Formats: sequence, structure tokens, C-alpha cells
Amino acid sequence: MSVQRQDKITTPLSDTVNESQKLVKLEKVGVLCLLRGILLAKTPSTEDTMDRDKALDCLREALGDETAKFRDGQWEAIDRVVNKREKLLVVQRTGWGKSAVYFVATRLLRDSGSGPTVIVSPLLALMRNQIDAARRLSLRAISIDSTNREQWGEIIECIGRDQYDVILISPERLANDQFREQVLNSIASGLGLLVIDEAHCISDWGHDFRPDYRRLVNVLKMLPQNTPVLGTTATANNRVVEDVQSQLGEMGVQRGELMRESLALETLDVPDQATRLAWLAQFVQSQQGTGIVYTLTKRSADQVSVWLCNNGIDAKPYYSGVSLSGFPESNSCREHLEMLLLNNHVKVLVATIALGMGYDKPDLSFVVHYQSPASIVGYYQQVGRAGRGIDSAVGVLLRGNEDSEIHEYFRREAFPNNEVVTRLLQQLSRGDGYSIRDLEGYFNLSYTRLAQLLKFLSVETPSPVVKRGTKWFRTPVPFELDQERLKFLTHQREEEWDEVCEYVVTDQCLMKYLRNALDDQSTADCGKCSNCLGHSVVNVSPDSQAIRDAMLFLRRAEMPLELKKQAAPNAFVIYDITYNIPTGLRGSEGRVLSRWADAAWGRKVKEGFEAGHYCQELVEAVADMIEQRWDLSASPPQWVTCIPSLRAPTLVADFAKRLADRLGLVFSPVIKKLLDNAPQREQVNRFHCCHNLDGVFAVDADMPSGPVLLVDDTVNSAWTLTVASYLLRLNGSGEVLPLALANTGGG
Amino acid sequence: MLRYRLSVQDSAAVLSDDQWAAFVHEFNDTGEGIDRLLSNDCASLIESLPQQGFDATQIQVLLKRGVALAIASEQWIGVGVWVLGPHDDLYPKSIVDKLGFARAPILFGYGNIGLLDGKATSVHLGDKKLTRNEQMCEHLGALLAVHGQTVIVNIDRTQAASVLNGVLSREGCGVGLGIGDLIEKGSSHYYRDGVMNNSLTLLSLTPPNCDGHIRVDVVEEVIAALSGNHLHFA
Ligand SMILES: [Zn+2]
Repeated sequence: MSVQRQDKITTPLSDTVNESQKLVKLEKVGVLCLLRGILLAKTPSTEDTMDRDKALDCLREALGDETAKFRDGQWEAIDRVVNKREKLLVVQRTGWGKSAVYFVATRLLRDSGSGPTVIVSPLLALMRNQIDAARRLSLRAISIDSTNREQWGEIIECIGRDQYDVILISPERLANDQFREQVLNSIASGLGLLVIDEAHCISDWGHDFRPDYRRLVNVLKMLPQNTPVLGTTATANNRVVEDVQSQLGEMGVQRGELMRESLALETLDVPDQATRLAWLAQFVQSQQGTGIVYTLTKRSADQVSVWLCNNGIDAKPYYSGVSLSGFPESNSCREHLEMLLLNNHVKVLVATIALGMGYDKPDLSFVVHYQSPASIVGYYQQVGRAGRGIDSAVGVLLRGNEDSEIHEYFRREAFPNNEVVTRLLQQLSRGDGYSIRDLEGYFNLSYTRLAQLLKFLSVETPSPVVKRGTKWFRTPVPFELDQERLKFLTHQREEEWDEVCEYVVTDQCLMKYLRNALDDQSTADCGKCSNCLGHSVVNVSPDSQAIRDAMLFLRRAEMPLELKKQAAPNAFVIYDITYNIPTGLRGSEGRVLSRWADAAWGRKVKEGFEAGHYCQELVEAVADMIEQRWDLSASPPQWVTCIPSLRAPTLVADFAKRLADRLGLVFSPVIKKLLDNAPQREQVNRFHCCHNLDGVFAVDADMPSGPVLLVDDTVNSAWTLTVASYLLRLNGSGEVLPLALANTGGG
Repeated sequence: MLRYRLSVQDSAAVLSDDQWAAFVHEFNDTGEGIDRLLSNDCASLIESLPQQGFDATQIQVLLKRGVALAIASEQWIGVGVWVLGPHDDLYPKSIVDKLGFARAPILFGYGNIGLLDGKATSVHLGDKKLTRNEQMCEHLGALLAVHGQTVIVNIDRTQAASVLNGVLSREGCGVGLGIGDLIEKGSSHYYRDGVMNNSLTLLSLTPPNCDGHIRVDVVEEVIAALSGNHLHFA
């Protein structure tokens, strides 16, 4: 089955203008045609054609190696871009030397009088070492990003005076209208070469699709015909390459071999998490070098990293939004973590796919997937980080019980649904500009989700929404979600997932399986994977004690519970909380025992919830946590209360009472529920979470004194516990210590 | 390209109306088609012109803005704005006929191009108290709509919105033309529905969100070129 991309450049023209005329109109925009001529006029004449010898001199200079030679395809790529001024997509494995290609090309183009090269790359931190390579070719390189915003003016002036040869920017910047107006227009005037790093992000057929790249595509389509463009990627299969080509128009493809000789692959089906953790600790301890462990969620990254540390392994978690003390900003924190691994100051990073494109550490000796990746394309990209510059490396994929469900969730959340899009556009049509905070009042969607949705819509062409300043407006453009395409893309992702499942169980050579799935039609077996060898490549088998330790670790993996500090404006009319909840009326930091339905206690919580009774094991688990691992010496709890429910009046109260008995404390159910509100778990954004609780509870001021444990079974946004803590404190309670059995939130 | 700045920050020395007219005049005298500007030797051609009233270097500097234009136009087209130059098939013939190619401006627009057939009735609002009366203006718009006339107004004038409101209230058709920010106007609740159901066309003589340096009298000329009848309210 094949579905053609539909270029939706229809405009709200009169009915008398037919479809083909509309297309003609945009193609023939007079000014654009006029412009196409300009760079044609700047094409170097044939006498200027760069020869291979000169390019080789440049390469040797760049590498600081007088005997260096071009790798397969490097000269060909330079020749096509510099001499033939082609648009070229280079598909080569990472470590092949793409940066040498675009730096040598830039040197040659600059020597012939062309303008500077603009490199669009998603990973600027790691481009910094490329800036050094550029310097060796006497290329002056600069990165324009959020860290040097104050210097933009100065940088633009320097670019205007032709003082830079290479300008690095991120796709996010490129899609930012303000940046375009302030910076890009000035840079773009004399552009000599455009490099698009990780070009597969253009294709929404791949899991790496980034909305910002879609706007880049629109710009590329309008570029003067002979502006050289060099796209690079290490991970595209034919399907993605074809999609990139179809979007960018006339684009040549140069494809190298993907084989990585040094990599020994293995797959293991290890359904339960405890066994997997035990395996992982033993495996990492047995490895000489450094590596990456990939997880599907941030929570798993944190958990696995703590587990490895407990086992004496120097591990750190890595994901978008990760924090470390001393790093107020997450991006700089990520950069720091990347450098730690790069310099071997940490043994292993436990990362989500946020540690992705462009990360190049040649001596990385292992990559383990703690959970299965979404696709073979993604897997190859991630596992391919190992063994780039060393003789042997290991790539192991562990398949867990939970993987399938997590991917199903990701697929469900990947695209917006039609009803929400329609309602959002209707709301935007009712006024002249809304901030995302404004929209939260109308939609039960999280801030992030609303932001994603608006971003999704804003890269449609033409877009039904436009952002000006901090507000979003509805443009006068009819819009309909292309549901057929979204259905098709979801189906593609299901097929990609099936391919991963097949990889885990196949008995053919694993490297051959990957290469074939990536349309590299090789037939040779690698001779070093577990299937070729007929036995494991890593020789790890955790004993039963290690597995029991891991189970205990999972069962002791409670999480801190932070209550809210700021209410949504106008949400608490009855309680009259305007914005900040005063410090004296807030609950303290609490604890959540487990994650809903997880392998440790979460499954027991789910079973108890469904059966209408929480088992005594959970009482013991919570008591154990309180007594052994929650330091409450500063304010030891004197009594226990709980969140009441009208639907299951005894479920939580019974549990809280048994817990109080177990701890030798008084149980006093002082909180009353006055209204049968909608389930709090259905409330998504701040406004709805708050508003749904307004006036719902009342507290009996006749209560025991001293710090109190406030118990609930599940927690999602923590607003229920926040409001109950507020009411308890308002009515004179001592310190409030919130406690929940399971977290039902995402992450 | 030669006449417009591409963004608020763009400081390019674009051609004034007079310089543009002079360039077009000399260029037409060469007998070359506009396509010639696409050729490899366009630089020598431009330099060979007498250059009375414009400067070849300035033209060449402006012509180097190809990538910048691609970026700017991606932004315009991205929010549904269409761009028409005198060379485009759909460009209103009445403007070229009445103003001549040299003076025909680039049109940035939202909505129904079919309404630009040169038969509309233009309403010119002056400064008198009468035309500041919202209800009067609405009534006027409604009246013209009832008589089946497409109404065109300078949208930057006070009460232009009221006239168009009146037109749309009677399911008539209207055209608003000005030099202001097209995206802001198109995204306002006053005009959005009219544009989306094809009964209103919004035009700007400057690129969205840009300072175009277009003289106000050019707006009046274009309105005149697009109108069959004229109603003046001094
Ligand atoms: Zn093999």
C-alpha cells in the first residue's frame, strides 16, 4: 500500500479558481521566479571547478594528517555539492566523516567567493568540537543559539561584514518567527551552502520527526534552484529516504554501507523487571569501557540509574528536563552529562531517546536497551553509537513485559484527535488571541499537550493558527485534519514495532536483519552476533539472590510527593485561593509508594482498587517505608487521616485505619466530602484540576494535635492532597505529611 | 524583491516607487523579457542600462536576497497569505490596465481572488463627522450589499470595518485594501469568517508584518483601479 503525500497548499480562493490554478499561482509567484535567477548568476564558471587534489589538501589540513585519504564517497559528495551545486542527501553510518565533507566543501566554496555555510543541527553542544575542526581549515565558525542571545546583534553585524564562514543554528531557532526576522533574514542573503544535519527528521514516517523540520522543508522548496544543499543522515531506510526526497524535490542520494564491523549483537527476552535489573548490574560490572542504557521513560531512566549506583556503578540518568544541582537550566545539565560520558567521567548514562542524534563517542563499548525501542531505524541509530572507533563493542536488546503497552500509549498520543482540534480551532475563532494559559481554562488538556497541539497545527501549510508574541490566533484558513494520513502513519508505526518484536525472536544473523530492515541489501552474516555464534556474546547470568535484591529495590522505589504551590487564577471561587498558597497552609513533601500497576507494589494497588480492599501487605509496605526510609524525626506523625470518597467510602478509610493501628497512631477521619465531583484523574490541566475540587471538602476543626499523615490511594496531579492539606492547616492542624499508594500520572 | 523589505528588521535599501518605475522603464527598453533577470549574465545587462533614477549596484545587492525571500515567503504562505505579482495569471488585469506594469504593486492577500475583477464599488471615507458614525457606515455597507455590489474600501481608514460589517451582514461581498499588517487583520474576529466563507478579500500592499514604504496615495490608486463605481464621502 502506498499513500502519496498531499501538498496542502490550497488557499481560500474563490470557487471559480480550480485546483490546478491554485498550484500554478504559488509556483509562479513573480518575485520568487525573479529571485531564482540570482544565485544562478553566481554559479562558479567551469574554470573554477574544484579539483580533487585541492579538496584532498583541505581534508588533510582539516584532519591535521598529511597522509589522510578520502573515505568512500567523501570526494563524490564534495564534488556534487561544490561543482555541480546539487541538493544531495548523504546516507552514511555515523563516524563516516560527514563533517569533513561539509567543512571541506565550505572551504572550497568560500575560496571561490561564495557566501557562508549555514548548518542546521539538532545537537549544538556537540557541534562545538566540530567548530575546532572548522578552525583547522581556517574557517571561522559561530553558533547562534539561546546561550548567546545578547550577542546576536553583534554576530549579525559580523556576518554582514562576511567575517564568518560557518554558522550553526538549531531547527527550533529556524522555526521561530522572531529569530527569522531578527537574525535569519540577514544571514540568508548570501548563503553559500545549506547543511541539514540529521535530515531524516524531515520525514514524519520516522519516529524522529520534528515539527520544526517541516518549516525547514517549506523554506527549502522555495530556495533558488542551485543553492547547494547537503542533507546528512545515518539512519534512513528507503521509505524515509523516498519521503525526504519527495518533500525536497530534486535531491540526489548517496548511500554507503551501514555495516559496523566491531559490533556484536544480542537479544534477550526478559519479561520481569527484577531479573532485567539484576542482569543489567552484572553486565555493566563486567564491561571494561563506558556505555549507554536506553529506557523508554524518564521514570525508568531514574530508577535504573539509582539501581546501578546502588550496585557500585557510576551511572547518571539523562532525559529532556533532567536536573542536577548546580545546573539551573536543563539544557546545560544535559550538556554536562554528555561531556561526563565523553570524557569517561561516568561509566554509564541511563537515557531516554533524548540522548540521540549526533552524539558521537568513538570508544563507547556497549549499548543496552532496558526496554525495546519503537523501530528498527531507531534501534540501529542508538545501538550504532557503540564501537565506532574501537575493535569490539556490544549491543544488547532486552525485551520486557511492559514494552508493548508503553509503545501503544506512545502511538495513541503521537497525533492529535480530530475532535480536540476542531474544538481548539473553534475556541480560537471566538476571540482575538489566546495564550496557552488562557486556553487551559477552556480545555481539559495539559499545558504541554496544548503547546504540542498548537505546534502541530502551526507547521501545517497553510496553518490554521499563528503565534504573535505570546498569543495564538486563528488564521482565516479552512482546516481539516488529514485523518487518513494520520491513520496511515500510525499503521506504519505498528508495522515498525512488529519488526522490532520480530528482531527479538529471529534466528537469523541479527546484524543482517538490521541491515536488511534498513534496505542495505547485504546477504553476508556478521559472524559475531549471538545467532551467528549460537551462544550469548556477553556471558551474564544473574543468580537468584541478585534477582531478589532487585525485587526488593523495586519494592522500595517510593517517590517523593511534592504538593502544588500555585493555584490557577479564578479556579477556587469557594475556597478563595487566588494564586499562591501561603507557606503556612501547604503540606510538606510526602511519599508515593509505587507506580500504578508496576511490577513492585503497583500491581497490588491496582488489584486492591479493583477488589475494593487493599491487602495487608500494602499496609506493611507503607509502614516499612515510613519506619525505615522516610526520615520524619523532625516532625514524627501523631495521627492519621485520609481523603474521603463518596463512591467507595470505606476503601481508603479502611486502609488508613489499619495503617494507623500498625503504626500505633490515632485514626481520625476529619475530612468530609460535600460534593460528588467528577473523578480528579480525568482533570488534566491546572485550571480543571483546581476547579473540580472547589468546595468539595470540608474539615472538622475538632482534630488531634501534632503532625498528621494524610493518606490517599492514588495520586495524579496532587491537587486533591494539596487542597486537603490546605484545609487541614487552615483549620489548625499540625504539619501535614501526604502519602499515596500509587502514582497514576505519566512520565 | 526589489521593492520590499522582508521583515521589520530588514534594512535593505529597497527601490522607491520612482526608482522602481525608472528601472522597469529602462529594462523594458532593452526589449528583454523579465526572464532575462534569471540568466547568468543578468549582472552585465543591468550594468548596461543608462541608470537614470536608479543604481545598478543597488539592484544587484537586492537581487542577492534569494534565500531571505524564500524564508520570508515561507512565513507568509505558511499562514495562508497569497502573494501575486503582475506576472501571475490571477493578478487583476484591471490594475495592470489602469496603472501600467511599472506601477502595479505586489498584492498580499487573504480570501477570494475572484472578487478582484475591477467591477466593485469603492467607498472613499473622508474626515467629516458623518463618516465617523458607525451605524451610518454599516447602513451604507448593507445598502450596497442589498443592491448586489461588491464593496471596496481602504481598510486602514476609520469606520472601514463598519462598512464591511454592513456588507457582510447582508451576505454581500467586500474587499478591504491597505498597507497594514495583513496577518493581524485576517486573524481578527471582525474579518475572519468573511474571508473563510469567500465573501471578503483582504489585501495589503506590503508584506505581512513588514514596513513596506508604500505611499498612501498608491492605496487610493489601486482601489480606483479595482472599482467600476466610486462613492466619495468627504
Ligand atoms: Zn550475525
